[in-house]
Parts: sequence; structure tokens; C-alpha cells
Amino acid sequence: MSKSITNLKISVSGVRGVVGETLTPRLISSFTAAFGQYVGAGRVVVGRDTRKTGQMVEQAVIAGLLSVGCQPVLCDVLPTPSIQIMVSHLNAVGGIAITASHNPMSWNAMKFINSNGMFLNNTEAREMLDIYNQEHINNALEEQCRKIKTYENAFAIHQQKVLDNIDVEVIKKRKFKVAIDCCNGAGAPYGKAFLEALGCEVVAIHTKTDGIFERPPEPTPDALTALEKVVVEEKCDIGFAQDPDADRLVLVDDNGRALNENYTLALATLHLTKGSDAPVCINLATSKMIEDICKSVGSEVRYTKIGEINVSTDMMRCGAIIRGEAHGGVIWPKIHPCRDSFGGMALILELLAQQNKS
Amino acid sequence: MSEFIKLGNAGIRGVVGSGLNLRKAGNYCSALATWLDGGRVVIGCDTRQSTPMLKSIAMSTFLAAGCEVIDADITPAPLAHYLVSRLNAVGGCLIGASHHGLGWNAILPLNETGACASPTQTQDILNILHSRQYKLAEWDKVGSVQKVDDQLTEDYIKDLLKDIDLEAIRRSRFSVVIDCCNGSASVLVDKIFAETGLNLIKINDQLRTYLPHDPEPRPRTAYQAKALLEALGADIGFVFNTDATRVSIVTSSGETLSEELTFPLVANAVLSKCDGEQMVITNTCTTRSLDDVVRQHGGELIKTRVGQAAAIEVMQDCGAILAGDGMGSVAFKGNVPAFDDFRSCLIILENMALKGQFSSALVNDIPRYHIIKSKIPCESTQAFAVLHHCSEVFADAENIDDTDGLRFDWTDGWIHLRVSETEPILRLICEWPTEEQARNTVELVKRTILRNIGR
Repeated sequence: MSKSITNLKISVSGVRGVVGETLTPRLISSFTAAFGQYVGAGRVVVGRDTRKTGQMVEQAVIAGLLSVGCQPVLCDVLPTPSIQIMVSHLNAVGGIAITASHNPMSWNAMKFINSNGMFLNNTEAREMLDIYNQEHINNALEEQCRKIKTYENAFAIHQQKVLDNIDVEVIKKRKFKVAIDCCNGAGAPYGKAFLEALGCEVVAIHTKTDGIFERPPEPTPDALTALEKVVVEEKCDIGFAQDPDADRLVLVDDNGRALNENYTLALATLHLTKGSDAPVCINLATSKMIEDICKSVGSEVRYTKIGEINVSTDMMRCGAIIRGEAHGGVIWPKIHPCRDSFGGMALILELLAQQNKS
Repeated sequence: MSEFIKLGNAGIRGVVGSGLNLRKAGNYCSALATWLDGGRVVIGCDTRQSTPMLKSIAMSTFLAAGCEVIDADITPAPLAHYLVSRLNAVGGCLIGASHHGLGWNAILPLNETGACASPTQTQDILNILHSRQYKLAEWDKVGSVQKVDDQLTEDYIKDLLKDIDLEAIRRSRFSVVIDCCNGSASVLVDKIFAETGLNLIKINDQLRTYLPHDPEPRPRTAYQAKALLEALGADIGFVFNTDATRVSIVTSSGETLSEELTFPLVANAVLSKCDGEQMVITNTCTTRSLDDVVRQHGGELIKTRVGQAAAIEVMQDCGAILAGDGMGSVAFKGNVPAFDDFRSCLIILENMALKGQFSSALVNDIPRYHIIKSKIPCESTQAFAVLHHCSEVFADAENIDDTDGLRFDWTDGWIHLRVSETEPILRLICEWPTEEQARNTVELVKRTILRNIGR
């Protein structure tokens, strides 16, 4: 198989490819037009991570949306969970997150979001692909072309939602000193201010947003040596590590040890299941730790297929209190049924504040 | 008809959605980006509703090919042309429908001088398009987007006003009606005329996507300007298309002049300021009034194929002082290698001021003929056979010129027949000293053609 074919992945989690090889303006705009046609001629929220190729992809996305009569609402650089929250907040017909998440810098991708603010599920993704595969698409005529909208500081909506659901005063009282590693990603413009709003003293690293990731984008313990060092040197209570689109969260304890990704969800679960018997949804690859925690508090554990959308769907069905994935993905439905590093950070800090330890 | 698209010296043009759709626009821009081969490019836009869609796909393909994109956003065409040369860009494109009716749009390629890509260059772009081999930069060489420094706009205006006698214009305290057709001229018109002391009466300067009237400057599209000019007793009226590349004039007596007279009026003013023999460029279907004006000033008139690209290329090659056509377009020797309505307005205002004449009197210096422009629906497949037939029917002409289409000249008048570059029609132009003669000729030619294509 040629290199270029292995470089393109069209799946339920979106369209991913290597820029300069497979992810071309034509492919992006055609896919976006098919998505626009699928969700209908309404507002579509568009945000991106910090990749160098983000503007190129964004412009093709705008063209694709306009060409079928959708109205792009541009949110500039924005974490993926914030984009999902904006779709719900604006009652948009859908959203597109331009991010290859934890893939290397040469990759980019589009993740398609439906009007519930959730990624397209298997059926929806197939329906969209069916439209893409048709020769003919209903192009908008001149008078059907919509204007481009821009939305300034969309992250404020996300931040407020989290703060409204957390005991800010308890956290503030503790005057935590925390470190955050933003992976030079979409969380970088917002992470420090978010933690400061919780009364923390913040040491932020990898905050340049020039599209160059100064550490491996996947937040595995091996990739977090810089954060570990900062936590120790600066005597921080805790360290947080995000991935380039700020949906995943990994913790570094006060001894400067990066915790296995499962711990993020385990700790958040421990916190949220207190005084509640609502079920917890996790995928098959998630640590047994979660099951043990749930057993101890009497919550039901529901296992689902791997992939955020599968976990989210099941959680919506059974009214779970929290759900998540092994890869540091905390989903706190009270905020939004999406993986959210910001909601995760707030929950962990609340847990620490209430338990009075690190 | 609606799926119609025109590819050629005037870029890619068509009805948005059915003809000029996302895929065709994307492929064309990819070919253009490949031809430009990276480097800095300028994108300028007019105000049409579909322009943002075409602009986005152009930006994306330019970025993907590794270009640094200078986003001039909504900008009058002459300023966009100027920016290419000022910024040492390798070229770029204009996006906008210029004089086309509602529903149309177009992408026009620019070369490294800022002029429209020449016919040879256009051929290169089309060859790339047809080969479908497009350049893609490696991910870390993908371009970025920059805005235009406001200082450059100031420089353009300074350049525009450089050798204009502003003092004379100021003294005259003209009242001037300008109709921007809700086009891109709206963003610059105040700044440009700020130092001219004009009582500026702007209409249709709303930057809205709807068209207040047919955007082709013609006597029939000048009625709004005329009504206002008469009510306010203004000294002159100017009617633009949506990207400030064509302008027609309403005189102080309320006459809505044919757009054919814009170039002769401007040429008369410019040539009377120059010494020696000057070269002027136009195409083979421009009014004889221009021939007369250039001859009066002892200049030389060179005729090219129709279209901005051809006229500007010849102008640049032979250092002519002016290039223009009968659609109300004029380009001036200098830093803007393109048609520039603002300069045309300033030249005419200066001429009025220096002569102390009403605009209605300026026209009296120009020999006038009656010109009729007509369109005959004709599919591209039939068009060339029709032209051949006409060359046999009108073989008695004293001169037959085939520079572009066919022009038949007799002592007292002429016929020009050409396949449109932009629509599925034949363009017919007849000019005779009287309206009756012109009208009869038009009817004769139309009958001849329609009988030939069996209608």
C-alpha cells in the first residue's frame, strides 16, 4: 500500500490525514460540504487547535460549509470540549473541531459534532459518508450563501459552566499551587486563567501556540518529565497535563510522579460517586480500579465499547453521574457529555480541597 | 445555461452553485496556486454574497501550496492590483463578480506585476488545471495569513493624488454624486476624496450583498444617480460597478452618458496634459470617438483583443500612457497595472476644474456617434460557424479585422461580432453617426445570424 493511503483515516472519530499528502483542501471542503448537507443549513460552530496547518484546514471548512448554505461560527483556537459546549449553547445544528488530538504535528483532522454537541455516532457517520460519496451535492446559490460569524472568547462560556457546578470557595480557600502543561495546544490560551479563577497560583508550561509541540502530544507518563520536574522544583500541590485539544487530562502528584492515565478518572469517580448511587460508564479498556471504587460506594459500573461516543451514548441512556476512558478522559455530564480536561481539573481540585490532601 | 462556466483570460466565471461550485472553484485555485508556486499572494474581494465562500477555498488552497496569503478582504480592485506590486508578491487573485448580474461570481488570477494574468500565463494555469497535478507543501511549509498594513492604503491614495491639481479641484467646490453599487469602492471613497473639498454625495455605499441596480455601468443603470444629481443640482455623477473597474458618467445637464464615452473623456483630459506622441491601448470594439480624440492629440492608438488582460499586457510591453475599453474602464501608466475608477474620476474632475467647464460642456469636445450593444443568445458550439457565415455576408466591408471576433469597417460605421468570454452569447456592437442607421444595422445583423442558426 502506498504511503499516502495509509495516511488517511476516515472513521467514526472523523477524517484524519497528513497535510501535504492526503488531507488536501479539496478533501476537507468536500467532507465539510457533505457534513453541512447532513446537518442542514444552520449555524455550525468551528474551532481548532494550534497546529500550523489549522488555518488552512479552517478556510477549507468555511468554504465547505458556506457552499451548502450553512453559517460557520468561528471560535478561533478553542479546546474540543469548549466547541461541543458552544454547539449546545448556541443551539447550532452542528460543530467541527479541527484537531488531530494526540496525533503528531504533521497530521490534522476534522471531528464532526451533531446538534447535541456530541460526536457523530456510527450510524450518523455512515449517513454522512453516504452523502459524501454521491456525485451530486446541493450547492447553495448566490442568494443562499450565508455570512461568516465570529464568536469572541467562546471559552468563557465553558469556564462559567464549570465554575457554576463546583464549590469554588472551598478550592479558593486552599490557595493551591498547581502546574499545568498545555502541550502548546488549544488549552494553552486558557489553562492558566482558568486555574487562577479557582484561586490557584499557577505555573504553566508549554503555552506557546505556534503549532510546535514541545513534548509528545499524547499525555503518557513518559511524555511528562518536564511537568514532573516543575511540580517538584516549584513545590506544587499537583500537576495537570493536557493533550493538544484539551479533552484528555493526566495528573502529576506532589512528589512529581505522573500517574497512570486511569487515575484521573478514578479520582474524579471517587469524588463524584460520594453520596450518589447513579451508575458510572467506562469502556472495556479502563482499569478495574474504577470498578473497585464503585463497589465501595455502591454504584453500578457499565462497560461500553471503546471510543468517546460509545461511552457518551450509554451514559445518556442510563443517566450516569460520570463516565470516561482509560486515556485520561473524564466526562462529567453535568457540564456536557464530552471529555473535558477543564471539568476534570476542577473536580480533582474540589476533591483535594474537601479531603484536605494532595 | 445555469451550469455554464467560462474559463479563460478572465479567470473562472459562472453562476454560483450550479456553475461555479465549490469543487470547480477549488480545482481552479489549486491550479492557480501551483502556477504561483508558493511565495506571497494577495487576495482581494468585492461584496457579493458568495464571495466569502470562494475566498475561503482560495485561501485554503494557497495556504496548502505554501503561499503566504495577504488577505486584503473587501477592497477595490485597483488597490488589490497595487498591493501585489507594492508587497513584492508573486501574484494573487481577485474574487468578485464585477459587472455580472446577481447570482454570478468569478475568480480572476493576478501575476507578479499585479496585473491580470496575461493570455500566455492564463494558458499555463489552464494547462495545470487540465493536468490535475497540483502542488501541495509539506505540513510544516503550509502558509499563514496576514492582514494588509493600513499604511499601504494611504500610500495608494497618495500615489493616486500625486499629480492631480487638488488645489484647482478644491477651488471649484464641486458637488459630485458617486454611486458605488454597494461594491468595494464603498470602503475607500471617503478617504480618497477627503482632500478634494468636494461636496460628496454617496449613494449605494452600504457594503451590502444585494445589488441596488444592474451592476454594469450603462445609461439605464445611472437613473438613481441622475435623479439625485438633478434634484441637488450637482456638477457630475459617477456610477461604478461592484469592484471599481468600470465607471459611467452623468453630466450636469442630467445626460446619462454611454459608458463608451468615459475613456474618450479621460483620454482627452490626460493627453491634453502631455507633450509629444503618446501611445494609447484599447480593443477592437471601442467607439470611434476614441480614435478621433487620440488623433486630435497626435497620439497613436493600438488595438488589442478584448479584455483587461490583453490591454494591460500590451500597455506594459510598449509603455503606453493609457489603456481602456468601451465598458467604462481606464488604466493609467504608473503603479496600478489595472483599471482604476478612482483615477478616472479624479482626472475628469481636474479637467473640469482646469477648464472651468460644466461636465456637460466637456462632452462637446468629443466627436459623438451612436453605438448600440446587443447580445445574441448562442451556444459556444455554434458561435464560430456563425462568425464564419457573417464574414461571407459582410464581405463588402472596407476592412475586416480578426484581432478578436470580427470587426467590419465601412467609411461611416462599423460592426463588431464576438463570442463572449464570460457568457454563452455573441456580443454585437454597431456604431453609426445616427441612431436610425445604427438600429437598422443591428436588426440586419441579428436577422442574418438568427436565420443562420435556424431560429
